[in-house]
Amino acid sequence: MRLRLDAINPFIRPNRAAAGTTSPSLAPLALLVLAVVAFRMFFASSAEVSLGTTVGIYTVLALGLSVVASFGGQLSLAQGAFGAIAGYTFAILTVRYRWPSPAAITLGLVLTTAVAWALGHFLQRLRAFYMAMGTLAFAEIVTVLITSQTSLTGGFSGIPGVPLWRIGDVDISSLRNLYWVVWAVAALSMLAALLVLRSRAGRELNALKTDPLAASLLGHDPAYWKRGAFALSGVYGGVGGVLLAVSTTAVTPDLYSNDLGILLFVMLVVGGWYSLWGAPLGALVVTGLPIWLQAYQGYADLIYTLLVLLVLVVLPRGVAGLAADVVQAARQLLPARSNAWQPSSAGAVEAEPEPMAGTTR
Amino acid sequence: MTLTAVQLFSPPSEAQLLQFVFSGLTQGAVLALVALGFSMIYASMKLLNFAQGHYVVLGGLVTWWSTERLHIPIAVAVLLAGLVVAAVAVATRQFLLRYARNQSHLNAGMITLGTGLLIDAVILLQIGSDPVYVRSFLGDQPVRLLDATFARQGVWVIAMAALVMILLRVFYARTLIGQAMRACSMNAEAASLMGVNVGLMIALSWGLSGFIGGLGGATVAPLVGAGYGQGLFFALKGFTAATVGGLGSQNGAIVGGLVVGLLSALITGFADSQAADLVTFAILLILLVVRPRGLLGQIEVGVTAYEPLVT
Amino acid sequence: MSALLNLDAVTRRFGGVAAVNRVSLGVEHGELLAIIGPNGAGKTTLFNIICNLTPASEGRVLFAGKDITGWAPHRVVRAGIARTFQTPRPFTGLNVLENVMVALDSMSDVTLASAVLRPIHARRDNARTERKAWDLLEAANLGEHAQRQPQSLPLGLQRKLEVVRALATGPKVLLLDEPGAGLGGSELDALVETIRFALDRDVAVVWIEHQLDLVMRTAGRVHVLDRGSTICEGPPSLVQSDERVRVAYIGRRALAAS
Repeated sequence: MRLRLDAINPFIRPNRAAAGTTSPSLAPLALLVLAVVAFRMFFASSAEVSLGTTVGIYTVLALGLSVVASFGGQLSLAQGAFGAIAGYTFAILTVRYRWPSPAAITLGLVLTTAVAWALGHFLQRLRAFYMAMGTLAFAEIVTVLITSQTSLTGGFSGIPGVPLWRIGDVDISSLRNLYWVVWAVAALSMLAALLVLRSRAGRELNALKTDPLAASLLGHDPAYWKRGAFALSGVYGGVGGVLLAVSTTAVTPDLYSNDLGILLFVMLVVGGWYSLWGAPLGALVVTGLPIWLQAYQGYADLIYTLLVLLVLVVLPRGVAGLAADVVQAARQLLPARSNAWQPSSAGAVEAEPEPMAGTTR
Repeated sequence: MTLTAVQLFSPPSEAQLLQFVFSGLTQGAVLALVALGFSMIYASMKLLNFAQGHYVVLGGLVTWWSTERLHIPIAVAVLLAGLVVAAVAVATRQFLLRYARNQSHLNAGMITLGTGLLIDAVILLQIGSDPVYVRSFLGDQPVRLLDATFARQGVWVIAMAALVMILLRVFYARTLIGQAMRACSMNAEAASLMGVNVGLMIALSWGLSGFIGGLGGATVAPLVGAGYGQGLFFALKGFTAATVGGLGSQNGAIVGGLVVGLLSALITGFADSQAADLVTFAILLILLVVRPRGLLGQIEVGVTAYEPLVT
Repeated sequence: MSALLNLDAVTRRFGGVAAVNRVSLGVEHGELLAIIGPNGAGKTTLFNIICNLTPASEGRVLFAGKDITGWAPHRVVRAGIARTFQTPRPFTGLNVLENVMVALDSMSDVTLASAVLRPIHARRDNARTERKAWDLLEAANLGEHAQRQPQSLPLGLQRKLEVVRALATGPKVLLLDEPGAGLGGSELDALVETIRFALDRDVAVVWIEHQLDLVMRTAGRVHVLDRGSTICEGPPSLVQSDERVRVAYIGRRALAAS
């Protein structure tokens, strides 16, 4: 059987309503950009800007975790370790060997992505919990390596003096400017992930999640996404790690310890495990929580964990899920649009010979 | 996790070797208990209880609280530790997991991770970030044997673990409830058709795993203390032991615990504890890739490519 | 051994039992081969072995000159063998059109990286896929349902969608697992039309079926399995009159009694 490879007009823009069930909208991204700009207009003190920057960095890191969850259906606690690899590579190269920042960052990212891909490749056969343990073990290994190789990494005290970043006369890593840099990176990261979902990959992932057996019998390799998702999480983790290094101007083991992986996990649970928007929402809520609860400073950890459990039990799709439900409900209230879809007749294909003479439908 | 074994910086003598072995046995005993706890819950629910290591820490904490604050005699305190942790485990199962039953399996695992984090948060609140130490049960006099000195408490740890394992063996093999639990883990549907209350058996397995975790924590607390951040560490090492020996197998837990414990202690003795951790976790990763089933394990833990991704 | 698809003494054991026992069969280009046999004869297992959902204990599967025994299922599909299931398995999160698009996607060359780096190319590719899927649905007379959720279709149409979806992967051999189960009357006619639809596209169809009337009327060749082994093979007329086939279905005693 040969499908018609034919005179298809590549400029056909089919009505989006036809394939509407899986494409996530880009509209929330516009909202995000607006929010970021607005925040800066209303809250301009150092502490607030610093907070905003932190939320942005965590967004990028959490996005890596989110990608592993929604693209690969897995649980990875190794995000902190990925950040560490990239951050330390960056710090070592720029501080010790005086590499220029872009080169150092690139090498760090390449290294991290390679490691992430390898980890995903080797662990992808495992059930979710085994994989989680595996990633945890990996994270511990990375931490031990960092703290023990004192000559290379400065052990527990880390590497101070990560150089400021300059483009021309502008000091990028200054507090004020870093906010914009971080959020530009975060927005681009979200855009990239959303673009993937809006492409055919979104369908493929949906199919793989619903029925991997049937999907594989249509030619899709279930393992492809598991590996790819890990590699992607390595990219995001690496980028986040470098941003962390730049923002604190020093890399220490504490920066990327296991606690970071756990914190990201908390963020994603609260924000919504099954949606990419869980990353920024979770980062916002979890970072913002101590501010709102200033009176209960010592109880921060307790409140986080209670929140996690509450969300897991009562609101499994997190804040993002809640938001999606609200939007859905709002949509129902709008007047219904016509759903009929007709293919554009431009560049129409010749009709297939009718094999169904006499058929009942 | 360095136990109070004497470390010297020259080629080990026979005495030191003995000390390393003893330290390894002590570590191994605790890890075996953690591995057993993992096994029990995995067997009953195909779920990894990420808080298993936290149970140990909690046991230590409760023991400390009972003896230092409430001045309860040590024997009672140990038992209390076991019971409290058992209660926490059962509560996790009955309230959190039951309530969230219709959600995906991964969610259940995350809930257990959440309870572990909760325990950590409570610990942080109650005692701060430094670990607390319980007094050794019969004093701190080291035991001397063949020129080597052993921490006295270590004997308690090993003895307790051994006792627990013997009792469990008897429980599973001889008692009706034990057999019912085994039946449930093999085939829950068939077991319930035979009149076994599966829900009760599952709750019981959680309770048991909490109990032995608490007991282990109570006995090891004098040696390593109970503190914030130890939970996941115990869990990882215990899980390594479970993976080496094979999840779901009692003998596997013992073998795994011994292997990991001895290896850790020997490497700690010859190098340092960080190297020991490195090797341990590297072994875990390698095993997960090559033979997740472990040496004696029955349960197939790999995934065919067709298990649905998380929905 | 010039057949398109060849099973060479394929065996599958579970414990001590051979679900499929040294079965050899060949499928020619564009033919319609029916596989029949009483329940438990190993028919579905045979399909599973071809797709490697179940590994063969012994024997080989050869396709277009290549030994595909043990190939990962998605590789088998990409090589040109498609399969449907007895119970339709549409992707419930996608509409009918998207279900077909997913099948077409596996033949596309857009990868993860290119989706991000070359979004325009990816978008055009997507548009192309959408059009191809639409055309296929139209040709199969499913066009009016393109935007419906597949689980809302009646069983007969769901089965049809299964076939159309499988055809979208561009196979040379299509394995149909009891597509007629639970269908009656006019729906069975529609099934035959669907099979013709595939045959017209130069796809060989291997068809497991219990509705013997249907099979004998339409199949070019019939292969009979009983308890894992081949007991007869040939044109319908030969198979219908074969004693062993009747014994397998009805039983020796019942046959003697009649």
